[in-house]
Amino acid sequence: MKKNAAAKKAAAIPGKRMSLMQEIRKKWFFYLIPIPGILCLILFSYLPMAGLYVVFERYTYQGGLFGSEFVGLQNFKFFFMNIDNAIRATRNTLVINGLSIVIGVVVNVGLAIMLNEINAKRYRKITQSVMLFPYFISWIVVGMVALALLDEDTGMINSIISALGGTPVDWYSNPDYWWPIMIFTTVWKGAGYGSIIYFCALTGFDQSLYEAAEIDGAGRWQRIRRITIPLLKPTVIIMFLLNVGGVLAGGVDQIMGMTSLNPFLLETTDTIATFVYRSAIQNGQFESASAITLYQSMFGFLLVMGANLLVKKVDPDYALF
Amino acid sequence: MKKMKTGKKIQEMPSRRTKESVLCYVVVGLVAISCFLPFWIAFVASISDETAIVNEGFSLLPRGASLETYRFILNNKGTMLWRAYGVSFVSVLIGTVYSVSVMSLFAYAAAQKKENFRFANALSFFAWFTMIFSGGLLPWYILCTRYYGLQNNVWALILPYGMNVFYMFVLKNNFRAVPEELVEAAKIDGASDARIFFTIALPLAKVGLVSVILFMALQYWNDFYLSLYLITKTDLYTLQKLLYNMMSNISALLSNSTLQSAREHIVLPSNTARMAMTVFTVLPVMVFYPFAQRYFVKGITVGAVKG
Repeated sequence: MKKNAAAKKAAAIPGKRMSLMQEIRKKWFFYLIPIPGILCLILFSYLPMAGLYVVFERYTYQGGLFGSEFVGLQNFKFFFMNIDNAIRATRNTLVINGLSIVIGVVVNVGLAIMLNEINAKRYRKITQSVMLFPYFISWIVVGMVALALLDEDTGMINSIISALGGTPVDWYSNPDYWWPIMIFTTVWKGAGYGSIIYFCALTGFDQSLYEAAEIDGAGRWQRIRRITIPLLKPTVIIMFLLNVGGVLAGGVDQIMGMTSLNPFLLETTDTIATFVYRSAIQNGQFESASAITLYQSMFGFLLVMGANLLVKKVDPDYALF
Repeated sequence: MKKMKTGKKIQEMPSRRTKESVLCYVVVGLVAISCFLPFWIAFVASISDETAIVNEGFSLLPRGASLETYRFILNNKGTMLWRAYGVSFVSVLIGTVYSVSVMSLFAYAAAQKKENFRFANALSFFAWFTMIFSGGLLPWYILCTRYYGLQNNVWALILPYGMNVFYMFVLKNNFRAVPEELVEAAKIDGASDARIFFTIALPLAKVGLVSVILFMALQYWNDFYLSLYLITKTDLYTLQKLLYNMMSNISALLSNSTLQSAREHIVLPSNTARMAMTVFTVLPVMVFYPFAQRYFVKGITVGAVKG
């Protein structure tokens, strides 16, 4: 240990004296290898941040991102004209994602605990593999498959309902059904993946804790409540932060895959991401879309901040910053 | 003592154990069935008879099983389908190699100790910041299409995914886990930084590397965003985009085929064709799946370690 520390010190002192040029020459490898990554980040993340300047412009193709006419806050006029849609999109984003995350955690932890109770290794392996499969499938495919179940005339679910004597449900024209459908499909698609993560965490726990608890007379439920769930907390927090990070990026392919942006269903399926897509790319109205894109960006920032604040309250060690 | 011998699992009174365990077996089994059944129904529909589906709906067992629909698609839309396969495969192959190279090089520099590379922490921050703040869709779209020329070419399906910050941090953790003694020993033997990276760090980070490769391959294969935003030419449709277009306007896609003259006499196999296309899209994933999910599980556990 001592030798190691001494060697570090010896290396550090001349390092400090070296000029930057000397250091680059000596450690050229480290200065060279991050360049492609830095370029990617600049091109696809940092320049778009700077490009938010478009919010204050009347964008034209000729003028480009930084040369179009400056119009100040005029674009926000369109945003406030459309405020109902923005509120609707925000509400849908929060409800669908919030409930998906919460229900997802409960379902995944529950499945992981159940998997842990299954002693037949073969059965566990097979069910895990099958449950993971939807995670590998794109939302477009899921949307197609959902059609076989939900189609109003030929879908499986309506066939069953009619066979039982009920009236068929018009899934694709009534927006009321779509919060549950979106949440259910999100949880369903992620269940295999999530439960494997929690299951892996579970199997790593110190078994002597459980044995000691059992000797003290703790029943199965008590052991789950007092040992398993508290020990799973860090994993739950990491998964929560990851999911929140994905909220703004995700969603367009799910909604397009499941509903093809069906106008009848927008009342409950239009999220911020699809709202931006519809106004910017489908309709090509950059003027109204630009204020929405700023809103999207601010909303994402607040979401991450809010999630971080929540995590900080629960367990400061796992906060992002 | 007896307990210790029976292994890690705690033995309990048999009656309680069986009752609750059976419930676990049943619930897990039902969830697994719910994950499998929809795909089975889609497959069954793809080999069923179109009129049977129109009249009686989708079913669990095929009605009049035949490969007619597949033949129909291959005969009429074969070129389009093979083209989409080609575009998807090219974007997966080039994209995975490209993005994993970019990320692992960046991650290795960011994983260095401060004494070794003074900007290591700055690099991590530079990447991390993009997780907190993003410019939103519109500026990204304008930059890609107007300035970078990423529209209607195959690079548009590849380049934007060069840096996935989360997977980069997974790789960084893997490089961090490389034993320092090995690196020090190699240095004393006179190995350069580049040599250490290629002969020591990369092989030792294999588990993380393989899982990130799989995640990226899957992301490219399943991607819909890039083809949605940046591709309008049918020549460059990926399989996902082709499938999406079939969903929204199947009749347009099928009717301008060679069957046009016979159209009145034939039921266009729109339901079965949709499902057959779904099977075409899922097939490569299914072939790949048994291999992939093994590494996937390993990689997930690596990734769940805090960055």
